[in-house]
Amino acid sequence: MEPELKPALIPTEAELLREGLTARSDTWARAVWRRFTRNRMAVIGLGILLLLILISVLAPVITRPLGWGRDEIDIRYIRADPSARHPLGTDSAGRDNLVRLIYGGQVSLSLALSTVVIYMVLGSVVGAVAGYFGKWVDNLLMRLVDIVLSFPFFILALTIVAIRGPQISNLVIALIILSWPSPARLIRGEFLSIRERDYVEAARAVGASPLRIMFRHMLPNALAPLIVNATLDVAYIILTEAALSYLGFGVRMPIPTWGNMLSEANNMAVLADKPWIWVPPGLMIFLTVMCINFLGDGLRDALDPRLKE
Amino acid sequence: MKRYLVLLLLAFMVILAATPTSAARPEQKYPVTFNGHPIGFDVEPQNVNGRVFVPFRAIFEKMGAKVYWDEATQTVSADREETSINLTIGNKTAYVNSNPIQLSDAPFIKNGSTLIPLRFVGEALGGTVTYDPATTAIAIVDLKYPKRGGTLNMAMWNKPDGNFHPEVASDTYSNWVSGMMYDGLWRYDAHIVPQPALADGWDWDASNTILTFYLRPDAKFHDGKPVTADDVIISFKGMMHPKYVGPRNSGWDALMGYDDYTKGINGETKANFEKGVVTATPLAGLYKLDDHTVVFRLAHPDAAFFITQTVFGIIDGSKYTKVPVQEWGLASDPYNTKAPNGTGPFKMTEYAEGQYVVLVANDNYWSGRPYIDKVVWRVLSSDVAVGEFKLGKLDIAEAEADTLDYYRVMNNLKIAEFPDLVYQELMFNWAKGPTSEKAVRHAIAYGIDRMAIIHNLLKDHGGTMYTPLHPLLWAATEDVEKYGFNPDRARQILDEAGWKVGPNGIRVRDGKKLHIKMTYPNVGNPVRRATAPVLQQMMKDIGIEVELVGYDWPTINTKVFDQKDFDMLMIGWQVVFDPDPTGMWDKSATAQGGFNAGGFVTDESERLIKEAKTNPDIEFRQEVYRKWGKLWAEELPAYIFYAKNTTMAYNDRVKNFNPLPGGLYYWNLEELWLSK
Amino acid sequence: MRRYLARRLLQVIPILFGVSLVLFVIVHSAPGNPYAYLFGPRTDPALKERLMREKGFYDPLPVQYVRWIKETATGHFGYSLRNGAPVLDQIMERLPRTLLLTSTAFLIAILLAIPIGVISATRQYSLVDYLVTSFSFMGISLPSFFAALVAIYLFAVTWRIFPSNGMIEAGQPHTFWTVLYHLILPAFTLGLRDLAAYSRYTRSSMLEVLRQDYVRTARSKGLAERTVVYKHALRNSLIPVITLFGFSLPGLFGGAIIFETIFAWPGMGLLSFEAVGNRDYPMLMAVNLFFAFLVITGNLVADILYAVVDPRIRYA
Repeated sequence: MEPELKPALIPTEAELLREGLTARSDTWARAVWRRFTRNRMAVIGLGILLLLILISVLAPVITRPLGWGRDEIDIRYIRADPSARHPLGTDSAGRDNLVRLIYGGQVSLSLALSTVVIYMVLGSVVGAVAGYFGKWVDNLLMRLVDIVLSFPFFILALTIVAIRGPQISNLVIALIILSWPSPARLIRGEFLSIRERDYVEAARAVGASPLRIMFRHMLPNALAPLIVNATLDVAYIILTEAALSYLGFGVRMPIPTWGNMLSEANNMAVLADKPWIWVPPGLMIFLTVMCINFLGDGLRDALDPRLKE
Repeated sequence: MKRYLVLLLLAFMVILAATPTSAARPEQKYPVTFNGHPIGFDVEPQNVNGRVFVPFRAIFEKMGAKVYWDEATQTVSADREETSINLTIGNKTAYVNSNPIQLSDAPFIKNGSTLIPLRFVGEALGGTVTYDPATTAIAIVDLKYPKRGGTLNMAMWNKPDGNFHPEVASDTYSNWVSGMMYDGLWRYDAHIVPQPALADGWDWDASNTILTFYLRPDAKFHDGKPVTADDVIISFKGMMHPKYVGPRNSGWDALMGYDDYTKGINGETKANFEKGVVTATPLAGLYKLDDHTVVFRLAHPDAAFFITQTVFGIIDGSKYTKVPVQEWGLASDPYNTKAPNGTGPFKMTEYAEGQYVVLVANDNYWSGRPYIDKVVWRVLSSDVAVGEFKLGKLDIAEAEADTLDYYRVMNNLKIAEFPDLVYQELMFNWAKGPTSEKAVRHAIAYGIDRMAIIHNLLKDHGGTMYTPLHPLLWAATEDVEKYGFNPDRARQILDEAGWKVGPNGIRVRDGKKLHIKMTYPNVGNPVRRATAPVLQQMMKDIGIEVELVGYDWPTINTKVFDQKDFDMLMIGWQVVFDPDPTGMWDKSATAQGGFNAGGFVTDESERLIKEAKTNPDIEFRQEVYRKWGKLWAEELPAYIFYAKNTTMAYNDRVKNFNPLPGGLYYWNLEELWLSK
Repeated sequence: MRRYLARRLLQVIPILFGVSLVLFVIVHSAPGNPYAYLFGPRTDPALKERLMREKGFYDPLPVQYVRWIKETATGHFGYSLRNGAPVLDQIMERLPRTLLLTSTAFLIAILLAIPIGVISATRQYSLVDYLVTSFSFMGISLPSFFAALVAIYLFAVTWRIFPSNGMIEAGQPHTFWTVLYHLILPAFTLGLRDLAAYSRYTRSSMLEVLRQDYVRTARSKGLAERTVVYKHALRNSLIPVITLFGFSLPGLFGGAIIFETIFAWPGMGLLSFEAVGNRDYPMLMAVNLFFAFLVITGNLVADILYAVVDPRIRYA
């Protein structure tokens, strides 16, 4: 429930900020954090996730002692079984699987994170504009949203990547094109409900510009569901990349991702006899997605106490 | 491996040299069949003093026995299951499981083959032997061997297009299915030598421009109608028709009247021509002498014509009087899958689009009823292949070399591996960009460790090849520069050409980096995909910066073959059984969409390619191609990595499975049988 | 309600129009010649050129779009570039199979998820609840193709309970039972993700409802726990679950691509995957448009269901 603000007289903008936002942000954040830390799985999830991110960032440093570069080819050891030389064996071009596993997180995570951040921002802006201005602007943008939401997500993503080529940028673009409507719709909904609220009316009355009102006053209130959605979407994007990789339309070699490493296990026999090929990347995807889901769950509970069990 | 190649090569040389060029209508003196399947001989059966003698090895191998020759004792022997047979040259006593049998006459040797009295064949392994004095045909029939019946389960790793029309089928699986349903005028035998099929003979005239086919009088369509000259004419005219859309619309230029036909000047009535309806109206270069004799007439000799243009299946022309050529094999063609009427060993009974094809044996097949009753060819994901074999739901399938280990461990499976007409190359842009410089091409070639690629990436499932003249063909030559791995030489060549090593190890000339874009298909063939980064690393070692550009096929078609927008391209080719490089390496192939995308043209090369076609004499052509190969290797418009083996896995219950290169994996399907 | 329905139905047309336009631009912006496969290695380039011109490959995009729209408006979706068969015929043949697969997957998911969710909600923090929660987390965290391969490995190859692929057995009578037998494994693995998601959703929705005043009232009136849970709480907690139907459609269709590929299930997913690989433009357009239409319809149905189930919602 939003705090009810009942100003006795028309407040200045500064007062508005203090009451509506600033005052909230401090204690609110603390409350959220308190609620969040009470969820043990979410904290563990966050911890593991941070660790994975750290490993990915430090991949060049961590892999140095292993003695192999990310794309370095060991020509006499192609599709090799695990050995002291290559602890997790090598892939079809003789590259060290362990090194690539460590690097794999870089692309998998940064691809998912950047994609989600971009389309969340894009979608939020569209949603905010639609929600704030209403009328024909809203109508037009929402029809656009309807159109994009009608696309079968995966099939069109596949089509775009297949047609535009397998560069990572095309994958990101495809995912952005297809994903921005959800946050747009969400933000618009929140805006529609917030815009009639007193403090926004008040801000408008003191002559604050629409932009200012939108981004300083309204957006922060709509942030909670957005953050939760974004978190869960990161998991979804990681899985989508893996699925596209399986069909041969994900991030292409030589760039390693957990998804395309896992897709080397596209064969019953590999599955049965060569676990070192698929278990590590599979485990990493599973772990990451699971942690993100725990984190998202925890965030939801923390940000929106109504759902607190 | 190497020896096998050489042996095969010899076989080709010997036999191709003897084939289509000069044969008169072949008259087999004593045609022999086993259970209806014709037996081919190196040495023909002989009549000595009114008694018929037949070659031991050819007949007993056809009957499923293993045949041995002991030089010291002059003994031939054959083993089949529990039975073993021994005969000694010049000795009238033969042994079947050590029981002596008296022969009417002693075996003797002629031209390296052992000939034995015909009657003994039946006495040795069972079955009945009949000799028809009127036709001189010898029929061996054994109702107990081999086992008849059963269903052969095969897998298609991709969905076939579903166009099984023998003139139009374009993808591999559609072609195979089509091949089971439709016979051509001739077909390849186990030695990849053309043998009679619907035509029981053919000949060229002395000028090498008139090719006459004599149709087998007993060849019938599945519905019992005889195959006639009109059917042949309609089949072939279809591929020449301007409205024809399919992979067989080229190579007809030499045929007389072809140009006029494509322009609608003659060959069809105006109304039919516009509609695309093909009739049996003759062309100047394609006509019948009678209902069973068809003539192809060329304006000038074309040595490749027989092999590349006359191999296609024959359709029942009477069915196609209303179906225009542009609809052949499409959904609107009722004779594609709904009511096909072929001539081949199998008949299609069910086609579930995207799922499977069911074919049953043609009881009246002219070349003997198939031993198996039914073939079920299912569309499967290759990811589940191992599982399907394990479950016994799959009998034969092509297996990628990198999956063989999984098949090897299954003890009910066998692996067939043989060199195939497929090779992988690195095509250079010969006309523009950094690779248009010969020194750069040579340096790249010396910088590639070919043997490391064959050994480590291909896991030795292939062999070396240095020019587009494939080692399996008689035109192959090794008397060329082979560009063995020599990185120092590569560096030296680049240094001499002015490409000096720059600060980061990349060579520079006139301020320009030696940067080469390598386009490669990032779909399909996993070994080729893995080769790209390996090559990149090898090039880095000699100071060339290679940028990898992966595309799918449609993009490669446009970028490389249409727009020539590339420096180097990794690509694989499958060659046909004639070495003629026209369409691959000549000037005509440099046009937009042509396969000579690099633009390799020299006057000498053009001259040699044309010259080689003017005379079908094998030795003459060999000589010309030897020169051309040398020139090609010196110019090096492409670097050939390797010739690839084909590997297949099959259930050991499948007997007589003998896949041949060039896509002839299922050439003898009617003689396959299932032991379980 | 009727007016609402009419308005929603009318909206479908401009949306489909927009979808087709976006699709057309995306599909036709592809580099690469979709007709390339038509030609053999030695095809005369002039002949190639002529055929391409006849097929309208060189026409400007707007012209091609108008031509396409005109054809489509008459209910004709053109011919497949690959095998020349009418696109609509192929889609109509395959659509029922995909609907069968996806709806079975959805049904399996929902029919299992609701009881699982309810049980785990009513026994919050019990062992069952713990197991259900971890299962659902695993379910949504596992890459789908991977789950399918593992399922085939276990159920088809190792234990030989179900067939590993296909829809019917070649050369055998095609009965309802054979199809059902082939359907179970792909449908179950396809539904797995939704099963996990729905059971979670049902659980939290149920928990929320159980805390509501009227449930407390019902409890305090002394109604049996069973009545409270199944009569009052379940019904209300199902309302949000229904909306999931609309949401899960795109996911199910997307999954159909992967699962139809792995299981060789000859439906729309496999068709669209092949169309992508072949650059079969007319097929790609039609398949995507059909999927879009299905998604829109699905959402519409979900909205209507929502209105029917929840008496508080009135559409004007």
